[in-house]
Amino acid sequence: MKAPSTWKIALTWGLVVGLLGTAEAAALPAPETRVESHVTTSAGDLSPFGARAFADVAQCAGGGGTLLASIVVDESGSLRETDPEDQRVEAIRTAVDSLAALGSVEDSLAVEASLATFSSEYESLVGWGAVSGQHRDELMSAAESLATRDAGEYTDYRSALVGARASLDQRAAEIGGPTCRILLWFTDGKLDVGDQTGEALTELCSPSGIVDGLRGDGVAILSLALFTEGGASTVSDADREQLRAIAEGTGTGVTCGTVPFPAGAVGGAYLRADQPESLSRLFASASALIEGGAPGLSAVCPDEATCVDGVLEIPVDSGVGGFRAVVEVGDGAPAPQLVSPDGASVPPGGGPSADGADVVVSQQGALQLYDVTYPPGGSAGGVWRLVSDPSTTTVVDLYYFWRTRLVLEGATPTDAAPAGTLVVGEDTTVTISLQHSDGTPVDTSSFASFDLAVLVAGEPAQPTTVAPGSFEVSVALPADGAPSEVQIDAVASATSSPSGTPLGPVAVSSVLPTVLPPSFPTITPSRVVLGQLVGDEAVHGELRVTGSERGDTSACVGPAALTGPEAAGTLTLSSEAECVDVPAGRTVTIRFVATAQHPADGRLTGTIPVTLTGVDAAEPVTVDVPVEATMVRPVDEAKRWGLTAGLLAVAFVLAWAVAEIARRRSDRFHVGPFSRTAAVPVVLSRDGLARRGGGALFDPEKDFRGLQVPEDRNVARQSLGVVELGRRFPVFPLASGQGWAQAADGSVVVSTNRRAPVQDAAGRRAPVDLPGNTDGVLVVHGSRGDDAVAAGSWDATLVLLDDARDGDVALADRWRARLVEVPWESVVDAVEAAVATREAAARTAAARSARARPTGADGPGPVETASEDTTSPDRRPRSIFDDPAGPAETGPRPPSLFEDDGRGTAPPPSRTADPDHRRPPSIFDD
Amino acid sequence: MCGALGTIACASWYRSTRNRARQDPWYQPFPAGDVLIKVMLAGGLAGGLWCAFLVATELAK
Repeated sequence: MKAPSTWKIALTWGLVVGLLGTAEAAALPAPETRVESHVTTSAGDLSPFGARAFADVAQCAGGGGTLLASIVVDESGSLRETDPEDQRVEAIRTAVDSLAALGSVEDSLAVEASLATFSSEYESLVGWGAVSGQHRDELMSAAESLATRDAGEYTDYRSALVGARASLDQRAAEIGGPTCRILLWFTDGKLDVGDQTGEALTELCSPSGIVDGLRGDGVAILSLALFTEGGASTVSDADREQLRAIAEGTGTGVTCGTVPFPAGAVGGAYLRADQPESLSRLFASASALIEGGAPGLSAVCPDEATCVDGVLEIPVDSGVGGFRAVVEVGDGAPAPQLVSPDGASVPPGGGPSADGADVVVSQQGALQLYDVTYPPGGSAGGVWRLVSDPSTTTVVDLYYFWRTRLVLEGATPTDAAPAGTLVVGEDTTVTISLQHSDGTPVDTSSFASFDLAVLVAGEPAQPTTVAPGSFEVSVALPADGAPSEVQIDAVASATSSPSGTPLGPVAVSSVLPTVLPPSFPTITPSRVVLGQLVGDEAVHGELRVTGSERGDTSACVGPAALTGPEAAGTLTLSSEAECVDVPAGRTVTIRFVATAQHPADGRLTGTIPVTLTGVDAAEPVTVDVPVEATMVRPVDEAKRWGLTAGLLAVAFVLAWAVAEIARRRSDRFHVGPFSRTAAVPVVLSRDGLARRGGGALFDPEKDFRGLQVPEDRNVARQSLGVVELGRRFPVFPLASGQGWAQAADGSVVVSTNRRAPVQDAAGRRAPVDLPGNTDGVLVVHGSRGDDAVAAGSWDATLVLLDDARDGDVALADRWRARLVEVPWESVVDAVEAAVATREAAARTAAARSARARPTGADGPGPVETASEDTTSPDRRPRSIFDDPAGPAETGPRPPSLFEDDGRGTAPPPSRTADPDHRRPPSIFDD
Repeated sequence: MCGALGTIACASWYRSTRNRARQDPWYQPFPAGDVLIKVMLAGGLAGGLWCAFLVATELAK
């Protein structure tokens, strides 16, 4: 691990090294010897805009506070092609390692990170927390899970940016203190939202749109792209430039958002790799750039020009603050040896060198890092060497650190202008100085070149040198129409001598409020921040006007000029009073209300002209006060859950209907040209079936007859003569349909179904598994003699339906074998129970009939029981024990036990309440 | 919704194969098909629920 003391030096924020962009990087020695892909990945295709963005991040973080890093990773399905080996996992782990290193060594800087994915939607995997301890472990663990997250349908940049912005804003609000916000955004593909891609691009890049919203919120979009060549996932140059524009504002032939950036907006950077194997180095590159490094030489050792026999020379000129070598060695190869300018080898863990540098050697994922940090003032000049095994391939990326900072100071304070302010109507001199980390000025004369660019309110200004490392800029503000604040940006860069190492850029940015002469009132704050404009709700802000000590003054508010997302429609900002009088020395508050016509995501910006009338002033002065607000589309919770319920209901109904239709189509009886049916007279007993009259159970030549169906088909109902087949469906639509068989004459039916022989207690229907060819049906005609119940022997007809593709003989054999396995005991039990149930129903019906019959004077009493009724041969119901050829009935009779009484299913008597019904009636019963 | 419908379609297909298996002893349906269908259905319904939530969230903005 790294020595914290060394890292403190190495990561002194703000002491960033000059960078002149990729062109300058290409000017390093022997560029022709580089491998193109590695050159691309080491610098990550970094443009001057990107370098400036990294410098801004370094400067912001150097001021202390909290660095919030939102890591958002693509999970679209194209990753299976562009990154089949899941190299991004190690790359994300490298990034987490780098952030952890930052957070552990810089006392004034807290580093927090979160991890999320995006494709069609933004999905948070790990929330916010310091990159250390358990939270770091969670990030690492979640990074591992990214390997399986490659099935997203789309690559919707909007979801990534909107989700990250909301997350960053929320966390920044929770922290409360100063924050630097970066979005480490990894993607492997172009913007792809299907047929909404054009609309998505408009939402992203329109003025005051999503991208402008992030920039305005101070979020640096650091886009890390894996754009591979070849295959279906190849991204065109136009798509690459589009992504660059989203991050940096401008790509070749394309822009995104408001360009140039308005005051207060933060730029981003675009880095790309063209091979998944380079992803770890790409993220290491981003980490080095965030820390203020500038990309230098990238080499593949050994080569014949820059890395002869595996020895890479690293020139460190006078004034250079240090360098970092990111080294990737082959599997099993030894780590390279770093040799200082005096020829001494650096120990494995690092240590001080003879020329005063502190060296730290560390491991980040699969990469070896060598950090060399000089004390304030930088190197005195020398050449380091990195010695690698010439028999293996070693890739080395160098990053140089300048370790200086720019300091911006306002005018010397006077009675009229406090420190750090600019006076309206006057020229104010602003001082900019370049300092080492210990505050000493940097002697720029030692560099081969040095450049200081200054922008005042976005316009270039010419600095003048007043001393080594000290420069002045004159800022002139008009007497009328002056802004309430002026942003001043300064960027310094240099090249070292004699090696021409690019250093920087190092940047500083400051917003200086303007003040009027003492006869005018003053306004605070210099910028009205309205907060968050949620949906179409109003958002409030205020300006405080403090009167001059010299007398009464006044202030009038004019119509504001506002811009926002196109989708927001008309934006309005109104004040509660158009003009206010401000007594001497008193403070008056002017309140504002801003509204949008429609909800939108983006940013509201503009100016409020405030006209101030001074004491005895000849002319009033108008000051343009910037105003800004963040716009978000809120979620209507009631509407959300209502829609969710509605969609679910629609889905449920649709699914139910589909399931119902599907089972009604599929669960049918099958009949066809080979279908055979049989009706065999049998005797049913507890031992099984026997053909009535003796002989084999089946006679293949006589028993089976065809159904005369010309072609295969599935039917809902089928008649087999003495048996009707039908089906019914349970309520639950995924349950299968259930076939049934019933006798045409209402007799008791049972089946050989493996689950149950009857479907109802009275034996009116018997279950038949669909498609109807697996169960035999028995139509029970009656008992065989008065002792039949005790013997359990019944006359019946066995009815079958089956296919005889292999002949009737085989069909008969198959059924003989199948019937052997039938539990005949339970079948006979079912028959007896059905008979008992029908007898009970018959007795009940007879009793009901007797009660309804008119009674004579000496007739029986009004109450008759079924048992009493059966004592009269003329009035008792027919029984299975009766002779079918007996005397004709003289009056109405109850239905036969083997006929359907037409009254539906008379419920069987409760067997628990009536023990007599637990078994069929016996001849021994009373 | 698509997931649920797809699963139901699969369930119907499986039910047909099972019926065919009862008719033709040589035809073997997919083993553990009932369990698989139920698991697929649960997954489809969960996916449909999540999808409906996301769509509703977008529409509710």
